Amino acid sequence: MFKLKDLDPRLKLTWCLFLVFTALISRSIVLNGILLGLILVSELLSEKTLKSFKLLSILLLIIGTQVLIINLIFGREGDLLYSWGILEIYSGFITTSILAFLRIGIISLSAFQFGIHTDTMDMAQMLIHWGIPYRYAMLVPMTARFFPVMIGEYQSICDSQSARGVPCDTVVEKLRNLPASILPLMYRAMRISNDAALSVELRGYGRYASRIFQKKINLHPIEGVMIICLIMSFGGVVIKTIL
Amino acid sequence: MKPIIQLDLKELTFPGVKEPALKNIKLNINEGEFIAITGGAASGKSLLLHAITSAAPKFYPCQLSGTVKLADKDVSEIPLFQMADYLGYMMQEPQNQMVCRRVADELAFGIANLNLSPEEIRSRVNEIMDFLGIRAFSDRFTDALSGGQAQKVVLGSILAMQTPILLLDQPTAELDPKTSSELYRHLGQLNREKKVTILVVMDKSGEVLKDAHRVLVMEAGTVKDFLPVVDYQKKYGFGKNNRHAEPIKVDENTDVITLDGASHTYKGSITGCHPLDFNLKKGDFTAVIGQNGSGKSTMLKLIEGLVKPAAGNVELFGTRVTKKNVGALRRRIGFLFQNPDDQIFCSSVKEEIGYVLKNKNPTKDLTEEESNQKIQETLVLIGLDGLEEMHPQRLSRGQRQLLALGSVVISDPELIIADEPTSGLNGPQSQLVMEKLARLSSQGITILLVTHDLAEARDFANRIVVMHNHELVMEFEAAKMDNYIEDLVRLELIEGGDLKCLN
Amino acid sequence: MEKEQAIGRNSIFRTDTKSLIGAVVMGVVFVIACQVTGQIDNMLPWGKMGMYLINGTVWAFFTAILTLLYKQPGGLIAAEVEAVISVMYSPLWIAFIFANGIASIWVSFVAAKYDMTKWSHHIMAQAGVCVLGNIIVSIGLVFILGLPVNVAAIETLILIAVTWPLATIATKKVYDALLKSGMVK
Repeated sequence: MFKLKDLDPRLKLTWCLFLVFTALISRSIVLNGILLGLILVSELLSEKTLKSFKLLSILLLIIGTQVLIINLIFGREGDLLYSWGILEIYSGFITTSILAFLRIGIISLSAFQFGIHTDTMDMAQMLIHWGIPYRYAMLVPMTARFFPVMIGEYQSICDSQSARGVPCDTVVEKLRNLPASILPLMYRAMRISNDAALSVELRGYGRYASRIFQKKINLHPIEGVMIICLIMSFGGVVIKTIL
Repeated sequence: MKPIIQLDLKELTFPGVKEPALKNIKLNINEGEFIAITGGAASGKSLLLHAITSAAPKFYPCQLSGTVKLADKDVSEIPLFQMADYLGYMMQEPQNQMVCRRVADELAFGIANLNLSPEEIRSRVNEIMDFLGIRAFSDRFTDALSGGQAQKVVLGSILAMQTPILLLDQPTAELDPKTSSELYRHLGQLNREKKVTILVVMDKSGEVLKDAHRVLVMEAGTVKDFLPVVDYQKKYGFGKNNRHAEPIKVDENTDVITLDGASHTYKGSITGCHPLDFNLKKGDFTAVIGQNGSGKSTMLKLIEGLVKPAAGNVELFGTRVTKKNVGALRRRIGFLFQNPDDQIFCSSVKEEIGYVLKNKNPTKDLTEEESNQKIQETLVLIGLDGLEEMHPQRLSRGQRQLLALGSVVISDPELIIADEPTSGLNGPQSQLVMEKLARLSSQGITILLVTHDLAEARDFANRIVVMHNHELVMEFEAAKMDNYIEDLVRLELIEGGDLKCLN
Repeated sequence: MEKEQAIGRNSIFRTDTKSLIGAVVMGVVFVIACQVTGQIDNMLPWGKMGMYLINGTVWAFFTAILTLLYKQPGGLIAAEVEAVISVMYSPLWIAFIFANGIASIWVSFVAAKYDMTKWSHHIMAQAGVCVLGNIIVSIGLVFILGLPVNVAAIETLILIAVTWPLATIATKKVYDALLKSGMVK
């Protein structure tokens, strides 16, 4: 069964970069539409659901709507469709907005897909394969580890401040009391990172130039071929765009 | 016996500070010894461990004169990343020390850095998981572990490196009695069976004394005493709490907190607490006890209005808590949290205390002179006078907890809710915080205390309620705790009927 | 590796474990701060028009303060942690990767030349952060979001005008407070 999680991180990264760069250079609505469709199909084949895309899609929809409104009001491409005082609406806003919708969808969803289906230890090994010292490569799994920890810390700080009567109801109050939540978080982050750094050093971090990983990444020949195909396809897109 | 740790420290001084943080420490610790370290606030206990690991001065820059030797080798000549050949060090907060997402990766982290073969790594990790009984959650995410589980994982990761010395800084500070007993049992076993030399900074329970051979008493950065456990107990006793405040006067006619069948369920159908019926009268000093995860924190969140009751009602000062009035009601309450760092952010002690005063009592009520006077009085009350201009992050953990207490007291609250205010503090620090709370209680302020420490609950509260499995299961007069020992053992609040913690 | 280096003239590199892990954890704080301020901006009229003034200020502040704290490559790591995690909420993440990186390098150049004790030093550091960072993001606004060039240019000018002074004040104040706390040597 096809599972994105089981693929080599290098293949997944190439796939992600292929999508992102193609979306950036191509102005073809059809091609961008196909690429977005491919992301959704691959996700469906692997996970049998698009649930993980739900939140991000809502966010992208909001951003897309903002883009649409701005283009509607300020866009000056195409023919003049409507004019009322200083407000002028041109026909170009439709194509620009559709392309922007597709583009932000591809750019965001492809990177998100890579992030959620790649183990951070695999990412670290990928970086090590590329010659990055493991002391730096291991920062990737550490980021994934400390993300939920710091979110929890932030929640505790907000609860503490709100319980002790620091008002946070209106926008002005939220703004005025921003330091009350962010500064303790910074102090906590410093303490946490100091403890973590001392703890890893005392466990031999950086002692040797390399370290052992229990689960190793391994690029299958078929995956290698796929990487080459993706690079060639991108070359094709570049040539077609230039021509 | 052969000494494995030899300390001859003349002075350890931090930059910009005149007084040395450690001075004149000369002692030897033998192979296979189990040492408990104790002492008051800022006495230098943790710093002594840092000096042994050579983190001070290598990690925390400072001036150090003298020598520290491990197995006859001067630590100044050993890079930090090579210290794993000599010792393992476990600090207070386990969540800060885990750097991998999964438990199995964390357990293997240190030995993988040593480039052992994958088979050797697997075998050591398996051995440790069996020893600590953590195989069941080897595939779990580290951020989803409970305090006790996280503590075991950190310990496991260190034990896997098979170091001859183990240093632990208050390892059970945030654990309930059952979990901390388990941890000490493992340490005792390691010391007896594998002859690991162990140094533990003692928490307030003193439970480590069951296995320790000698006690190192620190005071003002130097060694005050270094005694066998029996002599230590003769000289210092068990650190018994003694309440020195006036008796508590309860106004039976005035309700301060009422929970009327209030319950809460978190996202993902995780039970916070089942319907709770609870009443706190004016002037009462009630302690809520229970294991980690028994629902104490959810009960507090319901009272504080941080979570909505899924069913039932919450009333504060006779008024039902709603989204509209929760802000005003909170201004009548003082909250003292487990971790003072969740609230401290100003750049001086004075400013930190004054911040609450500004928020709760708009300055139009108080002139600047009155405000300053109030701040000064509060600083005297909490014993931080003279440190007005100091940055709060420079204070010790105990002092920061007192500062948090100060910022609670200054707004003259009618009710103080203290959530494990002495966790992470040692005996004398805890006593200090509890004495302050007791004094406030005797002045008529209602207090709701959440604690793991049964002795603390018995000696300072007048009523104890017990939470178990997200429910309130018992309620009794604090002074009559002895009559309920069997029930407390059954609820695993006293490990195996061990009453030492209460003596 | 264990050697702690003081913040001061001509020392823009720090590769000890403390600074590397500190940069990662602070990078996460950076993300949280940007999220929180983004939400505040969204409640305000200019935020609804896609102009994140408070968010932009906090972004500039964090980029500078983290580089001052952790130097290089810590500053870059923290900045890129923010950029990469922004994949979860913004299609402009590619622009952020470049904007954050270049802004962090600029702060390092300023810190290498000055000791960062005066207002003028922070004004100079933030000038680069706000101008370069916002220009790169505006390129992203045009090429990724497809906004008209004039709209992107006006937005960028307003953002620079607002964020530069505010971020300078915040960075100077917090940097001084951190020095006082003893958490930064």
